[in-house]
Amino acid sequence: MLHKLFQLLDKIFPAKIAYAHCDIPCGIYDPHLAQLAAHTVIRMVDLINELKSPGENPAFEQRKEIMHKINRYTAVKEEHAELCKHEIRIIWGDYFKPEHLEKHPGLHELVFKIMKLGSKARQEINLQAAEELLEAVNKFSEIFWKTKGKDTVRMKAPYPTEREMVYPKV
Amino acid sequence: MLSVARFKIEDRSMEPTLKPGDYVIVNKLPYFFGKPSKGDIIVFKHPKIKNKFLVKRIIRVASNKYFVIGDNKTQSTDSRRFGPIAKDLIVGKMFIRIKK
Repeated sequence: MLHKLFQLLDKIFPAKIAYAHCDIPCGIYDPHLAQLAAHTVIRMVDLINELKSPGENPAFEQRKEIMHKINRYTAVKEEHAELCKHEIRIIWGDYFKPEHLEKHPGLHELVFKIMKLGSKARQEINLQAAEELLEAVNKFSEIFWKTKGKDTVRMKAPYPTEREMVYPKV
Repeated sequence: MLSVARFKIEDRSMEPTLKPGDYVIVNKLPYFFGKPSKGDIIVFKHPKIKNKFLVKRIIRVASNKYFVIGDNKTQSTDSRRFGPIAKDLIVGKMFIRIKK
């Protein structure tokens, strides 16, 4: 009842807004960062898999070098798999509305799949999981742009991964 | 000048504590006679955007500056982005929440 009273009071003396989000508010959503992150995960898996064994009894310096590389590639893989999940969660939770879900009933399941694949990509050196993550994120992007009334095109991305990226037709 | 002020919450960076549509009443008096403390939920002026108010929680006090963060950390722009805030930006301390 107190809330209703305050709503009535708003009509005469509007309450100031205390923002509690990105503080603009921006309304700016774009799955591009999630796609970039998925490509980065694939690139890191490729780099890890390209590392050559330093031999049976490598010198300390060789072991140090390879461990350093593995640590860095893994750290970036971790960061970008989680970033991919984070960007998808934000768009899924903040942007999509019930009317979008009616037209795209598989959306929740797709997001769940992205979350699981993102976690798997973190936990394992698994190229298949990383590629499936990118494919799921590309599908998510297609749905997103469709809800904005934009057609999309799939093209080979200009990155060393040489996998597909979804772009809106503008 | 009143010692209390009414604000309406938009968006989600303070969830689950505050949700969009909630109202908060802030009290300006505690900070006339005392200092903001860790854990206080405050409304303050945006340090970079005029005429915009934010609501966050104080997580650290250092050298008369206040580090603020949203309870919903993954959806909050706060001191991690714009640094600590000065006391003169603080409007007041939340003391009542009216749930939507």
